[in-house]
Amino acid sequence: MENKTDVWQGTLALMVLKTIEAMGTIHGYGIARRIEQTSGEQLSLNYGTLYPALLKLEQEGAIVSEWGLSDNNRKAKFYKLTRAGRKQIDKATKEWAQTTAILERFLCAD
Amino acid sequence: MRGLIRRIAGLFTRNQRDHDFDEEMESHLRMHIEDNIRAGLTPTEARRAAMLKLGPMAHVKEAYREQGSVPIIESTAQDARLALRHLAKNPGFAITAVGVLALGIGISTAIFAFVDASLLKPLPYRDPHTLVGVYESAAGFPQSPLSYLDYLDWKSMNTTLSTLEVYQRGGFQMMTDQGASRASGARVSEGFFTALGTAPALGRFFRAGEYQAVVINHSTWQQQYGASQDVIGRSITLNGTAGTIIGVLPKGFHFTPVEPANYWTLIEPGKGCVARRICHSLSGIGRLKPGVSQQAALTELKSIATQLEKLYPASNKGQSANVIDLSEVLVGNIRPILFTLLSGAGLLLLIATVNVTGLLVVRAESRRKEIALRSALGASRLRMFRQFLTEGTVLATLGCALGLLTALVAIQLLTKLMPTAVAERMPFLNAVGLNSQILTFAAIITILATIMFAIIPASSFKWKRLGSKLVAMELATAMVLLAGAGLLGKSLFLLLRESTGMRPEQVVVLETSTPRDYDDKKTLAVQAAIADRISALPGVQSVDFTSSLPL
Repeated sequence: MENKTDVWQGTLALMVLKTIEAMGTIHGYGIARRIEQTSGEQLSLNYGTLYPALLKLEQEGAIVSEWGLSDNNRKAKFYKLTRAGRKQIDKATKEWAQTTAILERFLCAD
Repeated sequence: MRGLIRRIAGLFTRNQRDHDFDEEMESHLRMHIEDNIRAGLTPTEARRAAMLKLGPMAHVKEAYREQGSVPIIESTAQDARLALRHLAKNPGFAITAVGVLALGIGISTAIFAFVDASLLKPLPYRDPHTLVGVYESAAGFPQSPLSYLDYLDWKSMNTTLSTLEVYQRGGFQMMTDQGASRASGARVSEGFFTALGTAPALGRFFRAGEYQAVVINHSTWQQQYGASQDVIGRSITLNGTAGTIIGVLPKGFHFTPVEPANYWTLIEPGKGCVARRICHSLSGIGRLKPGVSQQAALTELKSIATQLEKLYPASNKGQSANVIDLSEVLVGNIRPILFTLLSGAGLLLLIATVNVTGLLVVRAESRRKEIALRSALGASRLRMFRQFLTEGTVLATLGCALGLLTALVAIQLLTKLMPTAVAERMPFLNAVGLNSQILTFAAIITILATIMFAIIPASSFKWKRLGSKLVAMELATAMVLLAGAGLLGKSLFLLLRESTGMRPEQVVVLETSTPRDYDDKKTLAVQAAIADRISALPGVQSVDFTSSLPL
């Protein structure tokens, strides 16, 4: 447990977007599980924090939601990327790569 | 930006969103529990683990709600509803406070509408700031009329004015099919309308030497000539001379110093007063050349006057020049009256707001318990102040809305109260009405009142014993203001009613005129006949004639 990292501020949105991009359409619970798996169980995530983030992304027009049926025939709300969402991923990915590259120079300086 | 719009829209879909959220949580939990059971947990354990992983539910829901709309607007709306409920529960307080405010805001807005129409609106002429009033001046008579011959010299000698024109008010005797009647009018020099930048609605304006030409104003065209297009070229007999109508002034054109003026003709040189350099009867209007200051024009005209003084010592001794703002000529005489009225209305408004603030302070005292309870429940100081601010806004907005209605009624009433003769001389008041300036004025008042309503009752909590003292202070201020308003009213009364050294009661005035071609003997005979007939009327004590009234 102690080795798990909290999700950094501002990175959750990008993780959510990338997850939805990978899965096509997916419900909130699925996104939560998927993020944990993708991180190799390294991240500790309160699933609840996902939902305000999803609402925010939806308000910004990056994703859209629709009620549907899950694999087990359960009613669930499914999320899907929009074109604006794809653009946001591109932009955030570039920014993130730049940030890590800069940080790396500092870390490898000595 | 897009997110913000959605959030504001979210203010109105709160219930739907809450419902959606609950359902989404439920489906989330069910899926998680099923997974947990499949992983080998007992149903109770599965449920517990899923709940734990989801995190504190109340917290999540709160975060979701805050993201869903704009919390500050929601809580403000809540405060506003609370304020309205408070008002509804205390109708006595509500009616007094809103009524007093509406009266204060209404009256001052109405007076401001008059100030705006007469003093603040730009004059209705082209580039009004370059127009100046041009006069002669003499010892003890700083703004004396021009004589026609001086005017001609000034016009040809000056280099600072792009144009210099003169005008003179005065009616005509008009011959119609029904007989002689009086017609209001003015005489001007030929470039007068062009100098103001006015274009005719129909026909054209004067050319040099067209002493038989007549220009009529828009309302005369509408009323006397049925707005017919063939009015141009019609003949008209003014003062016994046949003339021709050549043009119609545009709608809404007015030139206050000569209004009401239905018929306009050129000043005819070489006759009567106009022929004598010592006879001063004209007012001048000039347009400054680009970049020339009013002061420079005055200096030049003064030096021209000095030259004329040397040339014509008999008539021009001591005659100098005076140049003033055109607005001073047009509305200078009503400015002090309007400012007095506005100050009075301002004081009234101040009394109104101070009194309402007093009421609020008293009410705040009785709400001590409510405030203490809310603070104990965790309301921050800022949050409490916001509640006072919202309550103040609700009160001031209600007062402002009712006040604007009051203003509309007051404007109508005041306009109707004005005698027609007075109203005709102030044509700019036709435009009185609510416009954006006046609404801005009302809005500023409302904001200031709101600030007062929020800060004073709220601060009465901070300085605990100040509350009751504030009430006494407010009362004292109100008394001072009341006395001030009373004194202003008295000044206004004196302004309007200067002592004339005469007893104007029981005196009536009748204007008569005789045709131009009558000589003195004939005119005197007509006057004697009129006097005889009038003194024969019952109730008439004495009759007499004068060429100009003493007032």
